[in-house]
Amino acid sequence: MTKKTLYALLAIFGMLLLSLPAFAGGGAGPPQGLKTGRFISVDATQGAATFMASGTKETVILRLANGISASDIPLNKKVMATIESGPSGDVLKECSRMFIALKTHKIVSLLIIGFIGGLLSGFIGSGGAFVLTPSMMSLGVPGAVAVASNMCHKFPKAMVGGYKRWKYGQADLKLGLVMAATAIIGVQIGIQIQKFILHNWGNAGSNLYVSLSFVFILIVVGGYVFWDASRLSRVGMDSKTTRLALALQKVNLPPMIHFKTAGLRLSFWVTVPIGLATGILAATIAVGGFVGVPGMIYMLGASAVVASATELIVAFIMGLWGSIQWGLSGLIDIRLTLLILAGSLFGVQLGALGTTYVKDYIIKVVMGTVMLIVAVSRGAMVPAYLADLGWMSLSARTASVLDAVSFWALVAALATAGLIIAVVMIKEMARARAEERSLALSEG
Amino acid sequence: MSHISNEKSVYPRNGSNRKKILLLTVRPFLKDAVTDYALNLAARLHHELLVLIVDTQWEGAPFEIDAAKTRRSILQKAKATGSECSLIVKQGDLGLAVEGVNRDEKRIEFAIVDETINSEAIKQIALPLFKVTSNPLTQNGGVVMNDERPSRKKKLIAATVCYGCLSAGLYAALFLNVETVMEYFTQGGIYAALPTGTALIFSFAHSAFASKTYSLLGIEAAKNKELRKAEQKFIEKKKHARKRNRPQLYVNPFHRI
Repeated sequence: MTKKTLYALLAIFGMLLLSLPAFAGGGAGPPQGLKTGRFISVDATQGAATFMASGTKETVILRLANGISASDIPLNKKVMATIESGPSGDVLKECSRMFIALKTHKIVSLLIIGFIGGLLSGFIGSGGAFVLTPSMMSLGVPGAVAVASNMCHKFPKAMVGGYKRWKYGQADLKLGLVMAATAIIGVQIGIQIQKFILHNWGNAGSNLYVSLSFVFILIVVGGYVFWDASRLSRVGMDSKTTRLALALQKVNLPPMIHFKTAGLRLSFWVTVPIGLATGILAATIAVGGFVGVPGMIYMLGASAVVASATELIVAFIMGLWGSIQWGLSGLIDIRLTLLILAGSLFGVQLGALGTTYVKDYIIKVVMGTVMLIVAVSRGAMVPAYLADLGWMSLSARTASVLDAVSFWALVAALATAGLIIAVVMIKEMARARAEERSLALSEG
Repeated sequence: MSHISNEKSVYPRNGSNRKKILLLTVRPFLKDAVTDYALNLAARLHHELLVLIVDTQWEGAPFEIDAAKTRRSILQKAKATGSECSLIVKQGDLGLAVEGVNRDEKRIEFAIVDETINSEAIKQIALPLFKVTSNPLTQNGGVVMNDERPSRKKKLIAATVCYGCLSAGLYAALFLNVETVMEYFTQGGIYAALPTGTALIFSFAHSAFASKTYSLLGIEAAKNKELRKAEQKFIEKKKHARKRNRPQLYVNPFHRI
């Protein structure tokens, strides 16, 4: 099969997938049963509310589920309502205001979070979403709106970061496109797994699955990445290609593709598992790069610089389609998106720039550190989900402590990553400037 | 042409047989950048540096005192660079002073003049010469080979301000009409193009602003390691090639024969 044929097939396959209305790339699309609209009136005595969905003039009467009172229903404000159809009619399970009021402290928080998230993305190729989405939710943004707004900011940020790193000669465009094609399929698989778990074990089961996936992936992969980076920094040598990567590079199954920037010649089928895993993880924990980047390094044999840069291309493609999906449901809060973009576009360029100064293993150090600290953050939430499922008991005080641990661990992950990147960049920039000055003097 | 009635030399010296470069000025002080350049040039060419300060205004003692300070600093620098350097102070006509030095010293290959000597005065100099200007922005005060540097910075500032205003304008336009924007952007369906398109447009403007801001602050990507190595090799090659006896000079058409 010629390369042109392969690319044409991939393009056609991609277009077919993109045309599927049920398709959602770069993270799950809006959950079923979630509707946006306004509540026109509430009847406290009857326990019912009149709801008008967005885009229609028709109203529907919803019964309020247990745990929802009339005072929880904001009238004539755009809301997100989780509605379940039952034998006795439609039941309102959950309701929250879609769009938060923006106060000064929230605006400043979003700018700072956006900058640090962008810095991380630009440097290690991924990791913005796991920080940004929970951070937005902690500001009172409903989950779906947080995911949607984050997705809408992710693809332009990835586009800018990916472009910068391609200009620096780090991003392999071909590898990114090939990985994105299979990642998109992986997302579909991830969504189906999520739906299966949600159907059988409900929200608590889904949350537990997400947290355990987080913890497992972050500890195993993050631990290995960190160990590898520490070893390289101690020994002071350049990273070597792993035996697994060398073995996979010998696989001669057509179609063979030459990835110029990565300096690799690989069978297309070798890239498939990594692409699929990236997509599944993106659909599960919204950060496909935590498998994609290490996968490219340790399974394909790409350098950390090329892997983290190429991941941005994958993130752009997945993010763009995910944004369209969320946009179709009207869940993107453009104000949040643009405020995060204001900070992240500065951060991502600085992070991308920083990669031109640092050694390969520093990227692994930052990635490993962030993953391990976030594993602590997510791990702290696991007991709460187990308690929700009734598999263990948890006192309110312990739950509160664990919640605080989770939050501060997330903050620590961001702060640590930001600090390492800043210190290393300043040091290396100063050294590069001193070298240039001595070069100029010796010329002059 | 006025004659020198009281031509005198300060710090008289015996002419040596080594090739020389003449650094010429009509002020008692020389800019560091110019002296550094001249000393480096002399060192590279293995020539002796002769500094000639001409008191064309007949200022007398104050001029000589200042020239003495200049002498001390130049000799210190010359010692540090390992170059041979000497300073002569003369009073009177510039052309005659240069002629006198040329006659006494012998083997002056060419002259370097600074900004204090204007084009009229240059006509009086009977030597091949270079005019050197110093630019505070260059690190070594060398010849401004690229006059575009100040204008390049101005262009960068202008671009940063433009993109900054564009970005600020877009944000202001959106947030001042936030109710209308949110009404349309959250309608779903075909309106999905609005938030995605807006994010793209904002990202073009704002990322350009961010990029220019970093360039203005001097925060730029490191040079490619291969490029740096290639630069170093090129510089080494140039250093070896510079060991020629006579530099390529522009002959002053106004020299008196």
